[in-house]
Amino acid sequence: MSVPSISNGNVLRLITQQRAQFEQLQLQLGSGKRAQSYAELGGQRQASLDAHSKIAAFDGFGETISQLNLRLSVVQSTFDRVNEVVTAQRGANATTAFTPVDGSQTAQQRLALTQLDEVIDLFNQDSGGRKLFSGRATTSDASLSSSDIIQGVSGRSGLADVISERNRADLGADGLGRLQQQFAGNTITLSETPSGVFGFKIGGTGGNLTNATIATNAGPPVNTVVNFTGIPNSGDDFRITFNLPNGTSTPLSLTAVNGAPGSGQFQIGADAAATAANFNAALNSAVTSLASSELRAASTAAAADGFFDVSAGPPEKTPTRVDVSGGPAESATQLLTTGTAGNTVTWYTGDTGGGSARQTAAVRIDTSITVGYGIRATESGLRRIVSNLAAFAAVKFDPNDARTGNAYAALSLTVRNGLGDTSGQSVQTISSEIAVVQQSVQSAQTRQNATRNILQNLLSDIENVDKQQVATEILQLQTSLQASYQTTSRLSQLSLVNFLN
Amino acid sequence: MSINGALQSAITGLRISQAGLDVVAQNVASANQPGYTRKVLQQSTQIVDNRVIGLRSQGTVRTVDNLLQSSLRTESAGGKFTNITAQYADRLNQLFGTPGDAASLDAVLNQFTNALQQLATSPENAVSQSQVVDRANVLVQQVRSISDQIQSLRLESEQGINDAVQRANDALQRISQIDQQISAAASASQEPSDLLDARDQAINDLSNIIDIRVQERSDRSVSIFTRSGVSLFDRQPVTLSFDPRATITPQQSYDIDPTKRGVGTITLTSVGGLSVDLVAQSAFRSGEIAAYLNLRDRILPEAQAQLDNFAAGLAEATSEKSVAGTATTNAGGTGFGIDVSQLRPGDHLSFTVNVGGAVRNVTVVRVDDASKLPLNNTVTANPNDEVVGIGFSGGNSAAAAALQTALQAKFGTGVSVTNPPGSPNVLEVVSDGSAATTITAASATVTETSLAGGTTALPLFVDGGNANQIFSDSLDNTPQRRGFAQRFAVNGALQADPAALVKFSSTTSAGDPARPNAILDAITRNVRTFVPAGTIGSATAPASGTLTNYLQRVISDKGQIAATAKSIDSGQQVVVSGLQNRFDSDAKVNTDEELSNLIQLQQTYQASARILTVVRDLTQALLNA
Repeated sequence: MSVPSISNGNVLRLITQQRAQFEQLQLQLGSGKRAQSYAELGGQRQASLDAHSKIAAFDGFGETISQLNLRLSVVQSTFDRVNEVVTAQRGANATTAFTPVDGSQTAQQRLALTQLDEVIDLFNQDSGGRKLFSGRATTSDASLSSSDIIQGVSGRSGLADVISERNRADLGADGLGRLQQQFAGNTITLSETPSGVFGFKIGGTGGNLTNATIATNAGPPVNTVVNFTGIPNSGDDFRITFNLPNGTSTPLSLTAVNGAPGSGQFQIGADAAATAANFNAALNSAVTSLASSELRAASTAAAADGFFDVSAGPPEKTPTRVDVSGGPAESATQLLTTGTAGNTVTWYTGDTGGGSARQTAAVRIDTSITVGYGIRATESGLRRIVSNLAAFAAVKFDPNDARTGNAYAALSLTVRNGLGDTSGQSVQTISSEIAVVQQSVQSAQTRQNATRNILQNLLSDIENVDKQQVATEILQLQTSLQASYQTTSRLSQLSLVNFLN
Repeated sequence: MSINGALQSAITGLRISQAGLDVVAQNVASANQPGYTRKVLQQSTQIVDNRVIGLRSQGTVRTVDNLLQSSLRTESAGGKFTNITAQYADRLNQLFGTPGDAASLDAVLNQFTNALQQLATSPENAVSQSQVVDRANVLVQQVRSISDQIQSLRLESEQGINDAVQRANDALQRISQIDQQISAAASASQEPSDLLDARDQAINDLSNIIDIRVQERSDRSVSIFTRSGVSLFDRQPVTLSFDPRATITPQQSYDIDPTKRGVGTITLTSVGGLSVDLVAQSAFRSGEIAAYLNLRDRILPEAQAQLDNFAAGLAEATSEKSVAGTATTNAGGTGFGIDVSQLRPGDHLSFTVNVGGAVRNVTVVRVDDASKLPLNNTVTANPNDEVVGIGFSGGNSAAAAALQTALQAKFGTGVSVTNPPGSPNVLEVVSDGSAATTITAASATVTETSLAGGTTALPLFVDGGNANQIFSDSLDNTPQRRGFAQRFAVNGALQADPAALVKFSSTTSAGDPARPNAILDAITRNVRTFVPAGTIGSATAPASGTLTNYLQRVISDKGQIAATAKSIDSGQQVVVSGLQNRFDSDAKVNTDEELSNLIQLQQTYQASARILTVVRDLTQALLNA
């Protein structure tokens, strides 16, 4: 057999090619994809790889972002609740009368304990298997329970012990706030003792006592000397300011009166010597009273602050205790801020590493944006709340002590002020830092969604086929194939052989 | 002119017609026989005494254009080369998967990095931890499997060469036999057309396998050379032999030195018994064997080297850590002391030396295998450093002495290296205190070998096919990088304890994201430089980018190679087919043409017979007169 021009290899090759192209188009129509391998993608293959990688990265970021959104909103709602707790406790503490409900504590103190429990519970809450207030230690609770904190655990002291120890150190054995009062001739000297950080510190003096001199000497020891040379006029006063262990200060004034002296007054005597004796007695009584109320409250706050201010450092801080190595607490002169973990409970059980709290949970939410949203319950804004609530809940008062009313009122007020303190870091500042993170997360998400759309359009341009176009191409190819087949078949029958006879 | 003359002429006419019929019959019958070329009857007029007395047949000749045949052979060899290359390039390309498919290699890497991203989000989550290990395993499996398949493609090429060599030998034997017959026929002045066809067929077979040049001598015998000039056939055929390997690994490669050669080579044994390694001589430039050699020794090993770079990059990026040098003074000079106790073979020290205002970077690589020294500057990807290989197996003081020798060779005696007795793990590199030479920076890059080494670096990937050794890119013996993509594995200790992805020391908190973030950065953010492999990167401009980028380049490069090979091949096939058509239009039998010849011959025969009848009638008339 001979096929004059069909034996031409070109024609056969073209038909085979068309056939292959036909199958390729069928595959494209079926799969919707232009190419089955990177070779077929042509010059766009790098763009396709890049787009796939970016979209996959966005998927990864997207999962991170949805986790973050959940965690951040849990954190924010925790802060909302903490703020409510603070507001409620501050409201309750507006009432300063000591009305015990169980002999030694008031309803407000019982409330503080409940509030403390709630705050600890919030800090320990688990969000999808993760503790959000423990820094990097996301599998550990942030805090011990309130009873462990206050009462201590198995031989290690709790807050109650620490407060009472600190109170003793601040008040001193004689209850004069570690001050020493001397009376000789017509001169009254009130001087600091070598008490280190404890007790009253004389801040400043003033007054307008006639026939008397008031002098404050830098010392050491710092002392205030009042010398009567005659009798003052009624209404003249002596003023002194004491700095307290928690950083606040309290004023004390004694006003000269002619009649029987009330609180904050001293009686003008017949002469300088009698007046001086009266002044001495009044000052002693006033300082003792102030020590048992304001100083004790401040001491309690300072003890709680030191107890809760722990960090693995650097610098390392364990619960602050009074250094009793040289004698009883009453005569102690310094605090221990390290090495006390063995005899005192450490309330915080979370991340013990150093560095910024936010960076304890740092995650990338976009190719070049990393956000830190870690929180440690020991951050000062959060610690202050725990510390004030716990201090208030831990202290017990003796209802039979005449000074209890003042002492309670002072503590109640100190706690109220402590909870309301917004200097330095507060819940609000942490909350707004987290809000900034939320904002970044939101905008990253918006940006990624927009970019993802663009990339997906690009990808579908590169990888997907236009089905209508393919269908048309198939139709065209079919026509041309049919034509080729028909021509080939006719030509193959055209041979001289058939016409010879 | 006598009546006899007419009778004679008519008889020759009959004879020629019969001979012509023979040729037509043979042409038609052999039309579809491969290699058969159309034969034409050569005839001449017999002239006696200036008068034509009849026709004479001079045998058949072929209608072959020799020049065309020669180009056709060259282009067919090229066509075979491009065809095989395109087929293999396509198969190589297919290994990397379908664009956008979840099982393609780039998608698998993306899944791994996403798992790391999730781990950075929730480091304490055990599911996230094991997810990373799982995804790492999938990635490793995928790369290893691609690597395995690249090696089986090499093995197929090896077998392809073996097969081709046998067929080449067969063809040479056939050529040899036919050639002798042709010479014999030619010396008997016969035109051996059919034998020539058979020889051409054998030569064509050979020319598809090896690109050859054919020379015909006056006695019609041929001599055959490769295009590169090696004689294959000259009266006697040479013998080609090939020593195929049953398995091929990435470590096996061609080398001119037979003791180092890991793959088969083609040896030519001449008639005189001389043996020549044809691969060493680059004797094959086109044709089947050249295609297979090119695949086995260049294209496929390049693809393997690129995967090796990727796998080595994964291992190094996650496990390397920097040890800073400490400033030191010694004998009036200043410099740095570097702790080399963690330096493993392949790890390196880097120095920056300022010599008379020019900044020069020196990379000192630990190489304990003395046969690899001295090192070439291209050992590291960095084009701007000077590389020194130093052995540490003889102790640090010996290493210090060797380093001093090497540095003084570069910078003069202004630099000295000591191993202070007080600190045996430290090498001190100091200048002599003159301003001309100062050492401005020094550090070591070492491989972390422990999962809890106290830094974010960890041996995430190890040399699984090699007793789970730590990968430090050692150059000793067989370079560790070669074939690493086929051997690497996720650290078994990590599979047993995925929490080590987070805990880099005994005190690391469960939720510390430092290590997951560091691993993620190492793969997706940190820019690395890669040693050149194939078309990716060159010695002066090495490829740099993240590991993700590099893998994309590898995939894209394979796609590019396959697409280019395919387009070159279709171009070449058009050329071959065009030449074949032109050749066939002359040399192939056209039945229509033969049949029209047949009619002519028939008429000639009838006419000649008629003349005979007339002569007979005339003779009869004479006799009856």
